[in-house]
Amino acid sequence: MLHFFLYVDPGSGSYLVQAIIAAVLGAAFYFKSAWWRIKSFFSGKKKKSKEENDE
Amino acid sequence: MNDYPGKHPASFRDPSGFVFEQGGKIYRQVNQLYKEHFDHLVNSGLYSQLTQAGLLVQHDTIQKNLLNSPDWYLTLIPERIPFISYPYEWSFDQLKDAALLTLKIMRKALDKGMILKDATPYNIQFNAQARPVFIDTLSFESYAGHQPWVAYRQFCETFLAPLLLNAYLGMESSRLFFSYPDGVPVQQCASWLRFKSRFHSLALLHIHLQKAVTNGRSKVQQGSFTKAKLLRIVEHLDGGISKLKLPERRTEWNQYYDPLLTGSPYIREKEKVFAEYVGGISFSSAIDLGCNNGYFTRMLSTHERLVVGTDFDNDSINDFYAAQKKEGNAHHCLPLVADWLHPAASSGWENAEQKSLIDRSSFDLVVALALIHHLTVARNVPLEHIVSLLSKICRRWLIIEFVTKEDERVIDILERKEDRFPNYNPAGFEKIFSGRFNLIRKTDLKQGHRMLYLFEKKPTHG
Repeated sequence: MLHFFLYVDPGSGSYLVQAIIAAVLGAAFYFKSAWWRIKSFFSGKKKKSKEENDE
Repeated sequence: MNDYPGKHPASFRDPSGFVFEQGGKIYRQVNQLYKEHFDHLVNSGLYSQLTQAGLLVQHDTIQKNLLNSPDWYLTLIPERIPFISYPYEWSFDQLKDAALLTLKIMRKALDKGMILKDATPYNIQFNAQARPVFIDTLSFESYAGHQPWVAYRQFCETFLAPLLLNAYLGMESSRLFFSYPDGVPVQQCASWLRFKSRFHSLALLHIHLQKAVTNGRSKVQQGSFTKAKLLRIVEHLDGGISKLKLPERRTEWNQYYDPLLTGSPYIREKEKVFAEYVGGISFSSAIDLGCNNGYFTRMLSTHERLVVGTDFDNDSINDFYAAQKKEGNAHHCLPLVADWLHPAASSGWENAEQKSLIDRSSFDLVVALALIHHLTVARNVPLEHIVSLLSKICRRWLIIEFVTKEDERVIDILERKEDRFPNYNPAGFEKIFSGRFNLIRKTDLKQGHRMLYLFEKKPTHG
């Protein structure tokens, strides 16, 4: 079996970009769920979201 | 440098352990250094969860220090992978499935307090069912829950970038790996993608934003990161990558065996003769060179056999892989992108990390249908050279189709170039092949100017 280890250099800025992306995705999730709440308030439908809000 | 006899030349980067061969068996040594992580992998139930789901390669554990190594903790005997392949031989969907497998494993690992310390396609192989499986048991590390992913950049460069470039620009991922064996750098990928992908959050966040941040040379404040944040990133990558598709393209080749054509008398006759030949011989491994979408390759497969199909056309191999997956991998063929005019060379450190395609190829049966005229008439490879290649990779049987000069496709090629192939006829072909092979059966296909041959390799050249 062939095998290839790669001890990685995370790369400069790789940690920072993950922090920014997590924040962007968190904000996107916040607005998305707020939008669903508004929508379901007017439509009367209850929409369950599978995702968890971890923020 | 190999410090132990039999140590695999690609197994030197990770101090956690290494792969070695002894008495024809493959082993993996786990070093003391990795003890804590390995115990976590097993005791948390992650190992059994991943192996039972077929995501991670299974292994037996033995308490024997086979190499008398002072660093030894355990020895593993991993399940054998029947044919080793590399990302430069995978079609788009194969690389995509490998990427999704990595992310799936990452999610399950995070759930058990572990993380993947590296994320590269070289950690994945296709198993006996031609399904991707993670092979690097020592890639798991205990995760405290407040660190970003150390292998994030590596994942983006080795999986995401080639997939995006293939999906958006039609740059075949397999070919990209020849130029960028360690993945396409984010900067390079961003400059190629440019505006094409700016409205796609996958490329925008993980490629363009990453490029901008990297260029800024800024430092990160550590400590504010959480596991939940990391999961969000992993899920975003997963959602985006699952939606990526190979651009619709009909090449000259991926419509070769269209339903309309496969019903033709020529294909039906060839299918019948081919099935007779295959039914009359016994073999446990086979390779089909120029397999197209695997129409004939599938006829070779049984549960016990290793069957590899190669074609230089990425789209045909992708169709083959996708169709087989749709059928629940009932056929167990491994489709690979390979151009036998330029077979993958030995590569990596000291040219020893990845073996060449020819070094990996040794099959009981070699099949070459409607291929020889492309090599000889179109690409000027003399018949003698073709015999030389075939006898290198063939252990016993050869089924080969000879396409004569009266055939439409050959006429078509010869219209554009001078006919400098005086030996290119059935008699010349048989004479040259008889140097290395014994003729067993020969059938003149009535529908078309083609002949099918079954040869057996002469033992002197074994």
